[in-house]
Amino acid sequence: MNRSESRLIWLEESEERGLVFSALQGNRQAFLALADHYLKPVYRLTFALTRDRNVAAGITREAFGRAWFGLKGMPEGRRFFPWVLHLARNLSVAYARRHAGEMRDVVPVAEDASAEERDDAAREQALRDALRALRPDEQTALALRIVERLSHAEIAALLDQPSVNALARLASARGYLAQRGNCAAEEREGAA
Amino acid sequence: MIHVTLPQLCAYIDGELAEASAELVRRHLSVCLECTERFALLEAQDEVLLRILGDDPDEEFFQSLSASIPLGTPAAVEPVAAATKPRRPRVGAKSREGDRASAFRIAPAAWIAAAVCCIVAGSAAWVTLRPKAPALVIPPMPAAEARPAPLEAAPPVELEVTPEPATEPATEPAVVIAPEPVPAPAPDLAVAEVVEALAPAVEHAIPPPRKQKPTPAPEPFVERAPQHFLPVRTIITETVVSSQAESPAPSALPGTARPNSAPDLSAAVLREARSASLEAARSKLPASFDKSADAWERALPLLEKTPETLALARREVAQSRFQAWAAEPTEARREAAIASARHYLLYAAPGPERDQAWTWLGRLKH
Repeated sequence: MNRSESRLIWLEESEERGLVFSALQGNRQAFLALADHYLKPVYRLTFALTRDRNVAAGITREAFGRAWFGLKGMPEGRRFFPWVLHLARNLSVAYARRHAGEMRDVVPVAEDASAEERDDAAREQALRDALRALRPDEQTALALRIVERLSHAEIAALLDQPSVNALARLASARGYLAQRGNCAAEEREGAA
Repeated sequence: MIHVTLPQLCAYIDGELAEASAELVRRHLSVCLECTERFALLEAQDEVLLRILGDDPDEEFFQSLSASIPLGTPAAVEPVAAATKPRRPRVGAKSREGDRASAFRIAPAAWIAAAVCCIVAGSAAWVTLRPKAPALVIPPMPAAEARPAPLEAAPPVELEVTPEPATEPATEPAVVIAPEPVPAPAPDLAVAEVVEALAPAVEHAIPPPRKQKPTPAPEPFVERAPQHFLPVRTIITETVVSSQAESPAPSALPGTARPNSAPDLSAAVLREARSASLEAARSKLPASFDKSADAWERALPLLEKTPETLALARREVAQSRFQAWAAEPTEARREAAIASARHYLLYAAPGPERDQAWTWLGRLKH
């Protein structure tokens, strides 16, 4: 995959506006066309925020369900995808907060793993743990950058923030993760 | 050499820099080992993050997901694992679906039922848990004394008077008497004041007051080192040490003499570490810094219960080790300084002090 190529493909604005208008009249097929187009990026973001396939699927389903029933409340002139992404993000953050104590994904390590493999696993585990400590905006920006390969301007637009904020969020998140990774590595060295 | 900042590195990794800026970063990375390492670390981290955060199920998964989007009634939108509940529509909003309104129609009834339940439960809790005033046992008194003219502003207070078996005539039953002559004029008279006013009458019914513990003797004046040239951190440490040392002396309390108790020990060790730091700051000799670091290391195990002081002590160790190495670099000092800096960084909160420790570590490594 090209690292700079965005995975998100936007609908033509006029086409999207027509679909939203039809959906507002009660046309389910129009809404399903919208949903089908944006289902994957929304799912990928929710997975990045929850890291559980079933939960991410449930949240995606719920987000689109809410979008269908609340389409009338969509702000005038706003694109559909940022709006539904915002719904999905809020649901994911709420879920993560409610299940903060339960959500800990452990990286499995084979018994016969080499020292290097163990190091990699420990580093990944530290990253997974540190990801939970990031602020929601940082997690979202990181997911949109790492998974969707969106540009900083696109990330800022999706987060309703100035463009420079996207860079600040990304730098802050990456710096924190790197620090935690280093600390974990040094801790292991110390223990060894 | 001016290094590339973290945001610049991130922008470079993400391909967000203009060509001229990217070229500058590229040139810097070709000559700076430290920045190259950071760049490589961030790149590797992004790879791991992609593995952690990414998930690409097959088309079938998305088809089933799309088919399961609830487009029927709002009740079909199930909150995921009780994450949230569907929001109520605004009053007066027209429904697109015929059954949408009926799905929410029960909501007002549910709210009312919940409110009624809350009120009933609250009332029951109040009735059962409210503090009840103990019945005052009042000795018999002549009627003339017991009923002086009541104050007009005083609210009527009903007191249940229980006859005392030993002194009360058998014919006098429990009676409800008129308001007592309460000296306080306000209608919202405090209970304590009522009790105080009735003290002569109920003296024998009120338990005697607890004996107060004797207050410890004031601490004798202790001459301290001048603080005007101390770093803030040292002053804070000293305050903590002083507060621990100011606890009443064990020998002052009878029966509790413990000559070698933990607070005394920790206070003494901390005092010693502080004075070693002072000495090192004055003399700036590597041996003094070594001594200071040793003293702080001895204090570390005693500070487990005071996290703030513990963090300061870790920093003192790291700083002293680094300063000892900077004053007279040897391999042993370098290793000790790296170990103590790492130890400090493991637990340090983000901030300028932590960043400074990273700088020490960078200098020690290169």
